[in-house]
Amino acid sequence: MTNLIKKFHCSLMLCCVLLMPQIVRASFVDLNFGAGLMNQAIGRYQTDVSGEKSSFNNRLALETGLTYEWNPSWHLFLDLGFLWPGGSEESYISKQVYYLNGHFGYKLTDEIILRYGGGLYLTQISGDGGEASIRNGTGFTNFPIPEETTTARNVTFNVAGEYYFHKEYSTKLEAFIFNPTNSRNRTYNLALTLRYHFGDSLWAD
Amino acid sequence: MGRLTLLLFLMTKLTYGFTLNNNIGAAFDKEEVSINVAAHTCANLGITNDELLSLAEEAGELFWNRVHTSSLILKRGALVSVATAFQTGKACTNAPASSCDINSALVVSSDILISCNTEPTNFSNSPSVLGVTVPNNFSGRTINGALILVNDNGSNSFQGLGRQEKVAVLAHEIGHAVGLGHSSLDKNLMYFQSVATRETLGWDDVDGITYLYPVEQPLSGCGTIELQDQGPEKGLLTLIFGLLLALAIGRTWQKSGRAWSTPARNC
Repeated sequence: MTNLIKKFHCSLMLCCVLLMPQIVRASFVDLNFGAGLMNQAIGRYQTDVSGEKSSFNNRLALETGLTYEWNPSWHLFLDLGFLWPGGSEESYISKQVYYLNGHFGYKLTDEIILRYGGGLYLTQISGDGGEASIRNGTGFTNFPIPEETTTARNVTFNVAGEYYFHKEYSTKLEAFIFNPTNSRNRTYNLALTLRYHFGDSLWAD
Repeated sequence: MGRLTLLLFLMTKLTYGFTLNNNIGAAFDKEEVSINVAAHTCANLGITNDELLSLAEEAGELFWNRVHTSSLILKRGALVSVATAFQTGKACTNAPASSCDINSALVVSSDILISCNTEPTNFSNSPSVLGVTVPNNFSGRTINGALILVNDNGSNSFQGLGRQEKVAVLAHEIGHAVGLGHSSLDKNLMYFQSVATRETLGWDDVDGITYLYPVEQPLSGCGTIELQDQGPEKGLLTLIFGLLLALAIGRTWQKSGRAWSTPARNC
C-alpha cells in the first residue's frame, strides 16, 4: 500500500511536470479572484466532548486563479488559495493553510465546467514558545509550547464543478481529497467559493 | 469593469492549543514506531498482555494513524521480556516532582514500551491516575524510546473502563510517548481526563502530531524510487528544476512555431 501511495504521488508530480508545457502552449484568458468557505476534514475529527465531529468546521478561503484556453472544450486552471487564520481560544498556536491547484476543465455548457486535477496543500503550524499551565493528573504542570514552525505538505486530488451564473461571476464547489489511495487516512475538504472574473470567462457572448 | 465582491464571511471558531511534553520539541526521527508490551503479568488490569497489546495497536490505528497531515505510523510490536523494575520501579527518581529525573533502570532502548506498574508514587498515589508516560531515551532532539506505565495497583480505575475508553486512555499515553503534552480543552484526546465518548482526535491533537511529524508529500515518497541519494531538500530542488525545465521546453516549442495543436479562441 505504501508503494502504491508513493507511485500515486510520483505520478501526480509527473503529470504536473508534463502539464507545464501545455500551460505555456495554451492561451491565457482569465484572471479571477474568489472567496468562500472551506470545510476541513469532513466528519473526521472530534469537535466537542460529546463526540460530535467536524461537520461544519468552516474557514474563510481566499483564492486567485488563472485560466488558460487549450481548445474550445478544454481549459487549464491554476488556483492559489489560502485559508484565513481561524480565531483561537488558546492563542499560543497558529496555523496557516495554503494550496496550489492545477486543474483540467471540460466545458459542459456555456455555464458549467467540470474540473479535476491535483494540488499541493500546505499546513504551517507555529507556536509562541514558553509554557502553559494545564491540568495533569491530580495537579497542574507547565507544558512547553512549541516555538518553531513546521509545514506539512499534502498532495491532493481535486474535483470541482463551476457554474457561471453571470458573465463575470461564478461559483465553484470543490472537493479536496487527501491520501486517496489510503483508506486509513483518506480525508475530504469541501470548498464553496464565489469568484469574480476579470478576463474572458467561458460565458458565450 | 466589474465589481469585486467578497461574501460568505463566516468562520467557525477553531482551537489550536496543543503543547509538548519536553522543552526541546523532541520526536521520534522515524515514521514507523512500534508499540511493545512488557510480558510480565499484570495482576489488576483485568486484561492479559496480549489484550493490552491489541488495545495499544487499536489506539494507534483509530487515533494517531488516521491523521491526514501526519507521517507518523504506529505499528503493533510484540510482548517483550523486561526487568522487574519496569513493574515495580519509579519512572522518575524524584517523583512526584513536576520535572522528571529519569530512572536509568527503566530506560527504553527503542520505540514505545507499555508496562503495568505498581509503584504508587508514579501515579500520584491516586487510583484515578490511569497511567504515566515518560520519553526516557533521547539523543538530542530525537526520542529513541518512551515508557508508558499503566496503573496496576489494586484499586486502579483502568480495570473498570469499557473497551473503547481503555483504547482512548492508551492512545492518550501514546500521544505523550511521541512527544505531545496536554491540551486544556476536553474535546481533545490530550485533555488531562479520560472521556467515555472519545472516538477520534480533536484538532489540537491533529495539529500537535502534524507539528511533530509533518507529512512531506510527494517528494519523500518519490525519494525512495528515483531520488534515493537525496534528502527532501534536494528532492524539492529536483522538482523545481523539473518544473523550470518543462516550462523552458514549452517556451521553446512556442517560439519555434511548432505546435502540438492549434489553440482555438472561444467566442
